[in-house]
Amino acid sequence: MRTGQKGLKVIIADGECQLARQRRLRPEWARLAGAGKRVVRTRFWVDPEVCTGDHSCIRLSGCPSLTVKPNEDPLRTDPVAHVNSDCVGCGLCGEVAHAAQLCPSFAQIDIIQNPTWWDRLRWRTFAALVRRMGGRASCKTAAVVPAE
Amino acid sequence: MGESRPIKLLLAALGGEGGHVLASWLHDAAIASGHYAQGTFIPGVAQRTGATTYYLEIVPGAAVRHTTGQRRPVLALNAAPGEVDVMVASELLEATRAIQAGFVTPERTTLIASCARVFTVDEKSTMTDGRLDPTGLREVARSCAQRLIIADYTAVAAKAESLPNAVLLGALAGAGVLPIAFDDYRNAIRRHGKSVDVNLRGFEAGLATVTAPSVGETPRPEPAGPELVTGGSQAGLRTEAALTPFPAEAHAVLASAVARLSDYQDAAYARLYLERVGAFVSRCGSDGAFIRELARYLAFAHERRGRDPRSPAQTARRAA
Repeated sequence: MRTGQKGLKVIIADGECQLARQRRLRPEWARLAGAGKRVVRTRFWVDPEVCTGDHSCIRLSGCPSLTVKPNEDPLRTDPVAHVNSDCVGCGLCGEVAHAAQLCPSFAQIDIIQNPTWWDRLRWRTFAALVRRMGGRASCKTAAVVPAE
Repeated sequence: MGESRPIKLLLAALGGEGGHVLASWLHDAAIASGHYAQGTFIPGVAQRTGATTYYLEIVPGAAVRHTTGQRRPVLALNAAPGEVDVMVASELLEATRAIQAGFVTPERTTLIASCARVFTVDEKSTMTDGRLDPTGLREVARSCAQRLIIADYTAVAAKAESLPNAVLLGALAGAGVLPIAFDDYRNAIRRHGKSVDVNLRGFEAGLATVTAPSVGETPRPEPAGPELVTGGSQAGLRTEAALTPFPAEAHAVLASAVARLSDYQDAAYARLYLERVGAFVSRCGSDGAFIRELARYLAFAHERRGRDPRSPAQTARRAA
């Protein structure tokens, strides 16, 4: 993009534009979910307790859905990173953060519509285990797994 | 020329916010209301790295010239500084950018602005807190517009489970600056035929912010700082009594630090922390603000140290 050469330039992309992909898939997902089929959507999430508020992820990825929000911790004043609802779950933010061995605060959230009995059993077992170990997995619907 | 002066409206939005749809509704509603309208849409996918703008000129009562062979009004393709009657901005910094460009003037411009913020890349990527002070931005808007209608339309939209562009259309209708009937706006939304119910819900919510000002005109209270843990005894340590020697400014921070360290290890460890902070009180140059910041940093230093040799520590488990 920065070449000084004049004339036609061609971009060869490795993957489809995520926004275009969303536009293509969203109606299909809505149709399937409406018909009672199992649909999995992915969102990324930043754990505000782990995020230190240095915003390296934002400097590295520049994703428009990656923003900041006030720190929930009364002892810390810097705003923490926050993934807003524009996230399409492409995973680039977590990938970048992980590749730079940077950030343990990113997590992937899989939102399952019309979960099967296997999904429910898996989640119940998982939540029970986490609670036993002193965690707070009391939420009945969402599963948070560490980003790849 | 013997025809009424065109009403000039400029709309600024961020890529992906539906500014194009909003401008199309307006264009459609203006014509349906019997006016001649011309729009110049400069869309984009800019998402906070640039702006998208939509410029409309509306000649009241001249709709017939859209269809008949009569001479069409000669209208401008872009806004000229100082010549905008209505400025709509979907975000607070966009509003101030429009002001900087001269599109908002105290003589004639009604500014309808959302005070919601979408942070710029510079604000977000600063190591610490790079966010701009919104009170300054609001003050600029207040001083430069002839009439200012401001509310957090993004929050209104979220509450109505709709989208900000429909809410802005409602606010614009409610402001009464355009000679367009409410039903013409509603019909424009219906004619577009996409997510009609959601958009109509947003339109009514936006309308209510202006016509029933108790809902929307009052600015959303700035998000209060996170709740500080105060009061009571924390794991056997009487916090209030223990805090009296410290300056009042530092009390809130000290109380949450004590709660945190008691949770992390035990009351003795929290007491050790208070002793260490206490060593700085009433020293030369250590005022309240200094003690507050010292208390904040020292609380973290204590938490990172792990088991302190001087404290009969138990391994702590974060309580649920």
